[in-house]
Amino acid sequence: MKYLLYPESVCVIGASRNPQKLGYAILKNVIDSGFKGDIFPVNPSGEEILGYKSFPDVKSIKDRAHLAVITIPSRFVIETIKECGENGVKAIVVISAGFRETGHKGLMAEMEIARLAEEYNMDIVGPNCLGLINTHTPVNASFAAGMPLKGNIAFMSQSGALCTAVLDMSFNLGIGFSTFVSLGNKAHINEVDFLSAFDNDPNSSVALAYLEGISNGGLFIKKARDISKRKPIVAIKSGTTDAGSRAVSSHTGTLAGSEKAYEAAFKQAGVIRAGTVSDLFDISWAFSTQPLPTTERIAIVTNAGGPGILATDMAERKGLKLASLTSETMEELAKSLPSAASVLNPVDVLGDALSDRYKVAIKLVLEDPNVGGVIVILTPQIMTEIEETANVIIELSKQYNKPILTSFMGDATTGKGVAILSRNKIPNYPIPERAVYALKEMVNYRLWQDVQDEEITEFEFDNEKINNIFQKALSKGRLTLGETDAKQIMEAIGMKVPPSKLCSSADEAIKFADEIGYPVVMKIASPDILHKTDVGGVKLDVRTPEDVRDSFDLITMRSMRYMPNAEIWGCNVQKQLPKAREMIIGVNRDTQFGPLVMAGLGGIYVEVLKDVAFRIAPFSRKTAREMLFEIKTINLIRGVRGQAPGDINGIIDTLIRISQLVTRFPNIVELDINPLFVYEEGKGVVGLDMRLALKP
Amino acid sequence: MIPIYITSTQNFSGKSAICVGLIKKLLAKGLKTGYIKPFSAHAKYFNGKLIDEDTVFIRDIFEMPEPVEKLCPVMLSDRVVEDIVKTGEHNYKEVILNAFKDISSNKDVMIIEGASNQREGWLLDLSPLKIVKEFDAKVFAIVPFENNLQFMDDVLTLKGKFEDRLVGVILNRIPKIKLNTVNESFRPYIESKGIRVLGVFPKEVVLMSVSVQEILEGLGGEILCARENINELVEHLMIGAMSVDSALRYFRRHSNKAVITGGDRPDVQLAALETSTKCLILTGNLRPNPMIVAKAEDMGVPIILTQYDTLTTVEIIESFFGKTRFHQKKKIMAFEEMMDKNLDFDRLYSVLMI
Repeated sequence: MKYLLYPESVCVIGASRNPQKLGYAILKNVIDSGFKGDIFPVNPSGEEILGYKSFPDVKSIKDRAHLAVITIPSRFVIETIKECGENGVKAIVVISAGFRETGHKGLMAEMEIARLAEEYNMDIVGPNCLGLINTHTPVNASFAAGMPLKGNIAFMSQSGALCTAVLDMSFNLGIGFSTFVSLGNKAHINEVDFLSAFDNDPNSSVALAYLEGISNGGLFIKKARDISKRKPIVAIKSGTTDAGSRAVSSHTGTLAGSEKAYEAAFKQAGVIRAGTVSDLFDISWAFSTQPLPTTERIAIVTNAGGPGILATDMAERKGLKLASLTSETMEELAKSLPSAASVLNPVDVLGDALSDRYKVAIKLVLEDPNVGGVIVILTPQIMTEIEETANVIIELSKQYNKPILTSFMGDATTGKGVAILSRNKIPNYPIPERAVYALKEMVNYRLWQDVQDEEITEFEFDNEKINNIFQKALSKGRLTLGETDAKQIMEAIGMKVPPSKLCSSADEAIKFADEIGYPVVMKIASPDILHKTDVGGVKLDVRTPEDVRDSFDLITMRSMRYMPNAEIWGCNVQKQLPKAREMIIGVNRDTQFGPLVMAGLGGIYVEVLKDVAFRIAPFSRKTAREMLFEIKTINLIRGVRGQAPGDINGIIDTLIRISQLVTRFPNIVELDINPLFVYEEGKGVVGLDMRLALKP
Repeated sequence: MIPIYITSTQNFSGKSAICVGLIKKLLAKGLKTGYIKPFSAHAKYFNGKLIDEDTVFIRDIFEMPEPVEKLCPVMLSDRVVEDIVKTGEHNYKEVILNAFKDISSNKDVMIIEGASNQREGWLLDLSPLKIVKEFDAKVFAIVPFENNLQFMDDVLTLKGKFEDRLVGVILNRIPKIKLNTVNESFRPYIESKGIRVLGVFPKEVVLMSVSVQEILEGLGGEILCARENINELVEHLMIGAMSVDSALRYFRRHSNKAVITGGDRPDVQLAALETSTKCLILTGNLRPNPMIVAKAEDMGVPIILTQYDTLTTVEIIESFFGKTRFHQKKKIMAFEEMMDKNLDFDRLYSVLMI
């Protein structure tokens, strides 16, 4: 993608002399950006535009233009792209709108764009986008109002308008960007391609993304997981509420993807998630200007007791640990600070502190091996040396390879100091909580870099058996698998299941119950009834043949009455197992990321407390363990109040088997094991019931 | 010439399908087979003319030379019924007998598509039994299952009415859970009462389905895309009024479905397109986003736009779900397969002495 980010020549197709036209604005942006290569306006009239000779078509500048920016009516775009391909253009930004957002013809045109991109080996951004800016080339091939400050943040956005807003805000904050890309309809190049491009770009050290949807979730996780070990990726995802998700669908014509899936995917890919645009700035600013923390504990230096405590509270809540200072550091601090000052972390240099007191304190904590990074808080008292303190911080930040984030609180009097900090790439936050938040993300990222990928365990499956069961169901037009089939699937993936059988008559049920012994559990067998208990379709503790007969009639009658159109096959008769602790494992195939695996404790813990954890399959044992320990009530399985621990390894095994199953069989769109009986450690787990839905 | 009178105990029980299947088999055996539907109780106006859809359909399939007016000579429209009541006079019996005489003149077998239920024809003084006697026909009846009692009573009533003229019955639409009971206890019981059970047909969803075209006609809506797939069959009706995550889970349960949702729910519309959907029905006359129409067109899923709200739309469609005609290839093929599998043709032929 070097021709997109670092073109040596640019042609603007649809360049215009009319200042009201987009073709004028874009050409002017290219010129004003200080682009050093050749600039070719393309316009059939062939007149001179903005002092540049104009060309009637791309053919007449054959092989001389690297990057083409297209801003002509959509009906001419395909022909023009073809012409570009035939005449040596390497990359294209299609600004023109009028594609999938207008209907089927537009969608087909986008498919043609993607095809032409492959045919002529070009990178095509858009259509329907704001354009692309690189401050290092420099080139501004967009219709944004102005050029961002030069910096190392690469930003891509699925909303062009958000690009311009972010750009406008960044000037005041002094935040610099390397690249600014509006993704548009993503007919060819998408977020994953740009992630790779940012990874390879020496001028970008932080990748920022505003996303509404992801084109290929699986590939995104894989790529982002790799890239995020080298460069932090900060993303904001919109459409996370029901109403927001509707807005995404109507903006992009795609499903927003489930919030849970995004949360899991970002976690697994090491993508730092910003909740708001303000968070996006806060985090990326810290990453783009400061080195990473050297340890996971931090220090706070403050001239104000209250804000220092607020910052400490926030740190504690976010899980950011305050370092215990070494005795040497504390002794030195005690020697240098007034006796009323606090030499414990947070270090309080007192309200009357001048810049020299700050200097001593910050220097001492930076030198402390237990401290990975520092937050400096300043409130303006009459004697406070705001600008001098800012300069002290700048000087120290050059000497030590640890992050310093500041919170000069206030505005009217602290403004000058803040401006000095910003100019010198020290991120300042108007309230300390925001500094804590940003530093916490840096600590998390530092830890993430150390996470080693673990090989994914493979279990032996009876693939043929599983395939046959699926094919049989699908050939009959059935998309859901009932207990009988699902039980065979569980066996085929090596899970333990209780003996059971689908019986189509009471006599058959009695015969089977006699065989396996009482008590038995009886459940309605119907592909149309998913929630058996809701229709009164489950009977526990059935102890005699007469009971089996009565239960069979009762369960089938209730089910037929409750769902008259349901196809009813009979009853599943199952050996009743001794009581155990219950878990639920579920899978829902997310439209963007694929199989989203859920685990939680059964019954009220899932239904009322929604105490569950999610991961995208496939995953390793380590990830499965992390997932399990994310469940708040997991201690009930691990054993509390003298209860023997449950078989955690058995649950992890099951999670891995399920992860492998749904990865290997992409036509499984949903799966639920409910309940999974968990016995004591070493005694295993048993899947009592499973439900599966397939894609036709 | 052997006349066979096909009748049933309820409307929409598969009579026309049996007629089609039987005619095909008999023709294949080399027998010259004719068809007549003495009167139509479900006549429809088409191009200003009253016609019987089933008859037109059967005539087209077998390329019968007789005009439709002869194959179904009497149309019992509301007007006709009122005239009969007013004047008390008509010559329909004669018309029917003449038509039958004409069609059957050079045939080996005549299939008479008779009454859909045993109450039809009394106004014309042509009750099922009277017609059977007029044509000296053998009776072959279809009895659909609703519940044990209705089912047994319906079967036994037929015997009571037609006595020895009843050559046999097909037990139709048996829920899977009842198949064992019907085969193992009901069937022998019915046979013991002197009624031949020539076939036991399980309930099949595809046979209860409606086409996208039928839904469109029923709703009187506008079709926005994928018109070429208007003959696709819809087996399930699902309503999308929940959050998009729940919608996706819900929609995944059934294939070949129509999804009814608001025009203002792009998320639910996309969730439906994500799963096996034959038709999207958008209520409230709200046009969908062009991007969604584009996607549906690309996937070949017709979108129907209706002015009704969701509740009314559901009511209208449900009123004809499972009660539509057998005019789609898929349905006929499914029914023929079912006949081949479950109908004892040899026994039928031997009783009919064919």
